[in-house]
Amino acid sequence: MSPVRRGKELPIHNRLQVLRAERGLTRAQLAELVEVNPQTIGALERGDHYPSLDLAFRLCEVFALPVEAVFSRTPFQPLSTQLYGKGES
Amino acid sequence: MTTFKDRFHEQQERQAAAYADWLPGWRNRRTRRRVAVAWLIAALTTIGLGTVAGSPDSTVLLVWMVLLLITIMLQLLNKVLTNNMGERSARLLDERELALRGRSSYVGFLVATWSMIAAAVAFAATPIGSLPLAPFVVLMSLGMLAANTPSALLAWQLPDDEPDPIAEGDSRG
Repeated sequence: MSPVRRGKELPIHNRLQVLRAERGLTRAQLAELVEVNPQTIGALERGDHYPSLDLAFRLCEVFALPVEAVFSRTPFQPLSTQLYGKGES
Repeated sequence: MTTFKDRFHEQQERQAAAYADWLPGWRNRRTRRRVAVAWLIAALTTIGLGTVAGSPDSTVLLVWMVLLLITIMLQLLNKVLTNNMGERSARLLDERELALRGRSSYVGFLVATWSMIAAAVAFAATPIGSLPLAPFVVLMSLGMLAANTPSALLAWQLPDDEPDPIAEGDSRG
């Protein structure tokens, strides 16, 4: 059995706020789609709460994106940098 | 067929929906924390007074009862301001709320355990012949403290709602 312990050195970053803005979804609307309290969406965006695998999958389903496009162990770069800044170093 | 459990959950959902709109101006961290502190002061004073209010014909007992009522009122206010997260059915809470409740309930359990141990030691060391109601009064006071500790902790911890720019944009049209 492996201990499940989430240290500060292993954060989970997410792109929820950007994706919400892109699709014009309010916190309340997204919360309704994944059946949680709107405050929980706020906590996820702030990084105050890390989602369960179930909630992560539900969120990814809403945006029709794979998990790695929404959640990451490393901070996300801005989408514009990812799209146009690949050649730069 | 609707089971008793289903009816119970439906009733809880109706209750939760009714509470959700109460005191909208008070649903911020500052007010929640003030209510939690006021409750703690009232609860501790009730316990303190309870140790000397065991005589059935004393005015101290009357004062203790009034304080107990104030504690209960503040307890109810705490529950309203936290949407009764501390005691609602798990079916009505999401995973973050369940995690928060789990942590605060554990503290409530510790408070209950240690306060009962302290009361047991105090009763063992004190002759209560002159204060026949002392066990009732003290245990009631401690029970009130332990029962509301989870809600008070949640009231202290819950953050303020952050404004959602997308929702604000929607409302501006």
